[in-house]
Amino acid sequence: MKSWRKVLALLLALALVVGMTACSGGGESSTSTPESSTSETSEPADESSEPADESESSEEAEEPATDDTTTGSYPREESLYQGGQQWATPVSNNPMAANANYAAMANGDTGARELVWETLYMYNISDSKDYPLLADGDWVWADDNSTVTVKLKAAAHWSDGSDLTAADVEASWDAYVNYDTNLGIAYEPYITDIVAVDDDTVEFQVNTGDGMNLMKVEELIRKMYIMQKAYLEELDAANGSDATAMKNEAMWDAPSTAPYHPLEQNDQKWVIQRDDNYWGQDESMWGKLPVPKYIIHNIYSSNDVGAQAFMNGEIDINQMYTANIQTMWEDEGLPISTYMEEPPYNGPGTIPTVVYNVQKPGLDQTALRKAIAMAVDYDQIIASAMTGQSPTFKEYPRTLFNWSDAQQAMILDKEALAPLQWTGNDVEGAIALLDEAGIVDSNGDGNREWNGAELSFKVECPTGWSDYEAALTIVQEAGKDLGIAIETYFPEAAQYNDDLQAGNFDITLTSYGGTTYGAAYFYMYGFGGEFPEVMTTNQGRWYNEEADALIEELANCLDETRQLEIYQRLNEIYLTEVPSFGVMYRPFQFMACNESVWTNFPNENDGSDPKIPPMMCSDGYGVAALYNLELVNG
Amino acid sequence: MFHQIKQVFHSPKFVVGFVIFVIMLVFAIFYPMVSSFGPMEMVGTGFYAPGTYVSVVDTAQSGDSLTFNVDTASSAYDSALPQETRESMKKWLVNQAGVAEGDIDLNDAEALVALWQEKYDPELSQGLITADKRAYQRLDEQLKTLGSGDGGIILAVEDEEGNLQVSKEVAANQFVNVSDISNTVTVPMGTDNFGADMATKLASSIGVSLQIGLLAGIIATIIGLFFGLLSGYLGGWVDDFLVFITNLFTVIPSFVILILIANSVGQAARGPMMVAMIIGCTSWPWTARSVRSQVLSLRNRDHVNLSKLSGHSLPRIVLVDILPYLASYVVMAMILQISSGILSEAQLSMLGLGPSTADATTLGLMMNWAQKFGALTSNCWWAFIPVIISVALITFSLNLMNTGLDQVFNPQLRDS
Repeated sequence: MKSWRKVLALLLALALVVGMTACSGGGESSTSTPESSTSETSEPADESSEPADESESSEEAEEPATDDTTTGSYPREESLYQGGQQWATPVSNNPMAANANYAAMANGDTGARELVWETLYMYNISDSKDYPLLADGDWVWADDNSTVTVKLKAAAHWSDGSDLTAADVEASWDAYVNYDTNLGIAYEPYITDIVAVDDDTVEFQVNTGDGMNLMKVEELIRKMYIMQKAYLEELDAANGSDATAMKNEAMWDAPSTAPYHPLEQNDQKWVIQRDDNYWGQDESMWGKLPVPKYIIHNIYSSNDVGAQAFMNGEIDINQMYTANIQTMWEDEGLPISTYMEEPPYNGPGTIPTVVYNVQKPGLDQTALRKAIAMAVDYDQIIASAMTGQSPTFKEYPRTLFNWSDAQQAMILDKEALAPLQWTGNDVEGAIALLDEAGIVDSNGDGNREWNGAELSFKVECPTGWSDYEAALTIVQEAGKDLGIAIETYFPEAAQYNDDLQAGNFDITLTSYGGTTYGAAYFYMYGFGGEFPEVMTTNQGRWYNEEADALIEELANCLDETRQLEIYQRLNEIYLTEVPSFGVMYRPFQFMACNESVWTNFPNENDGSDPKIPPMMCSDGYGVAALYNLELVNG
Repeated sequence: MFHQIKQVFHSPKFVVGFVIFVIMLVFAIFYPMVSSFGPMEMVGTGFYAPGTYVSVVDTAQSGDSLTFNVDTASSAYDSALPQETRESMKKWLVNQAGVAEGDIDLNDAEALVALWQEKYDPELSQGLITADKRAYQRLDEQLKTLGSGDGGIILAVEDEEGNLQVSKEVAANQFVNVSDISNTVTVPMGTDNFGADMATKLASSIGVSLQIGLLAGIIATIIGLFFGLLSGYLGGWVDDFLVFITNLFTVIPSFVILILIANSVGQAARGPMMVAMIIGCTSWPWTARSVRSQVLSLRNRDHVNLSKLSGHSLPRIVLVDILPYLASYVVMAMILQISSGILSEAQLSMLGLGPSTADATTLGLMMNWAQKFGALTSNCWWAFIPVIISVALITFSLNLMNTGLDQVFNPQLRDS
């Protein structure tokens, strides 16, 4: 009797388990956490260079109108699947939106995404040059630098068939400014107006007065998505010129010049479909259509789930940091490859940088800042936090620049910088430096003091960004060796962002991705010593009079020789004063490709000219990769 | 008392649990003492498999290397060329180089390699996907090093211009006795993502996790006892009120409260002991309920009534006349609390809400880092399997001890 009961209980339990697993089948429902659980890689540039764009996240409640949850099926052989750039339901297809949260469009300093909207020029991170897209030929500066003239391609037309004209560019800029969009606010100080000279000619009129900045003007030219004038007027009339309403428009069916149009978006994925009348098949541009008919971005709940889907071939290109990625092909024999065959596997990009808050007592001392930087074991960080997916600081000595040939070529005299550079793990040197500066342990408790106060700092980065966390854990070790209490602190990403921008931190880790000018501005520009309350650059609030003057000069310097001289001096100051220091090199995007369905993704030896950057077949000149894809079994 | 302890040790379940527990404890206390590494010391630079590592320089420079008459090349081929690699070589030779299928003998490794080296040309890989092109390229390079079976040449910087000069040549069949090599590193359980020795880290983590469990268990038991004794003995509105609070805590899943508290405390303040307190403060309700029901049956016993009539104070009655009758039960409940405390810590840490990593490591944190650094996808089993086994063994031993005690103290379960 008793044993019979036991058997019955066991059977019931089994039935329950089986029932529950069957119910939960179908897999992962995605949560709406807007960032990946392992470190951010999607839009570091956007976050840092645009003023507070996280403000209107409440918009997320607004569901896209076309979402009828009928998840259509798309032929695998015509669809390119992406992962790792979108973590929640897209909000809108509106380039003016404060937070569209739509990874099919994004315009950071590393090139705008050219899938559903297009810009005048495509930026190529491989050679730091701009290639015309909607524009025809290079832009032309007037002799007195007061205007830039851009010609438009004759072939370019809208998806509704009408021609692209200079009036559209003018109307787009007016919209960005009039509706107080992030782009408008960020670039208004540098542009007085954009006017249509004739149908095919646009003139950017530069603000030549106080705060003149030619670099910012060039940034705008490659960043501004062009919208259609007629459509904007229609929207404006419908919304009664209300700025907020305009920014909240979903614009899923807006006409665009781009090769793809939004088809479907929900909390599982978004799909964009090729426009077979795309103007770019004209010989003056690509000469053909992009290969995949659909581009589909799957939304996963976390990196782990995404990585698993990627290994199974459910997504073709994946933009996530994956520890020990080489084991996927070396040990498991999967058809997976990255841009480079050998470490660091991915191309150059950003430099995650430890930023000191120089307003904090102790951290205002250059000796202390430099000592910590010297004691950190960068090889350990690169080997463990990045699992070797970064060149070392011995291979590419530290400067403001990443390790791309283009940026390294901006260093005028490498030998002159050599005595200022350090490769890390130099505890003795750091201790000597501290002792010499009088930052010593006078009360014998094992911890150094400055001005009578014990030195104790928190190093901060968002929780879950595993490589950042690991890097800071190693910085903490350096503190132990020096007798400086350094404690790691990993808050939620939103808290981290608030702390960062408000200067409410001791030491933090952040990164900038973009141009050389952008890097100098981001890490060194001190606003003349008068800091706004919210800072999106130079959050450590470091100020150096000479550096400020140089950056201001750089902003309006189109003479390359002088530019190099300024960069040389800026690097000298940066390495002497140590307002911040890089801990590793990272790519702009981690792009890993699974060649189960598609092949011919860009790689270091693909022979493309100009070099197609590994930018997920979408960002800036990286979009060129879409025209080269081939089916594996085609 | 002595008799009872003796009885406890007659319970086979208790003894097994106790032995496992003591072994874990001894490992946690003594291994860090004998280990040559600190628990947080970064010996390596990432996941290293368990084993003994010998210095490459020492091996090469060792003066007394001996010659063995073995064919190192063939064993190297055997290990480097498993059947599937040979199959893929054949595939390339047939499809890309146009070799007739009959000309390839997969069982003759040396002939296959010779054929490969004759035919292989990266240019012929056109049309393959990048991953395959690269795989063949890697294979070719591997075969080249294997093929140069005469051994390598050791170079040393000799002159001032930095030119390299041959200092010594080594043949492929020269061997060195492992005990002659002065620089060896043994990592019996491998290293974790930071390159820290897993064995030392594991021992130290077990220690910290046990401390967390112990503290959490004690706190939960004290709170539970206090609530249970008071409400059971006093009855009336005090009972109603305390039962109300207990029920409140019972219906809200304690793990949710745990997550909320752990999250709001903030990472900076979350040391191991703080986590223990948070766990202790959320896991007391069931102790309170069961203590209360036991007290309810005790409060009307004669000796309690006698004590009441004698005018003894409330604390005295509760502590002297009631608590001793519950003692064995309380000890068992505490053992369970300790084991659930250890599990809760592991769960919290897996979610990234564990103690801050500053100066302590716990079992949960070790699993958390292993997961973050893809130990699972990159097959680094040593980074998480020993941890999981440790958690399982500790909780298993505690539960066994609990069952053993139960059998001794619970008259209904007593065997004889």
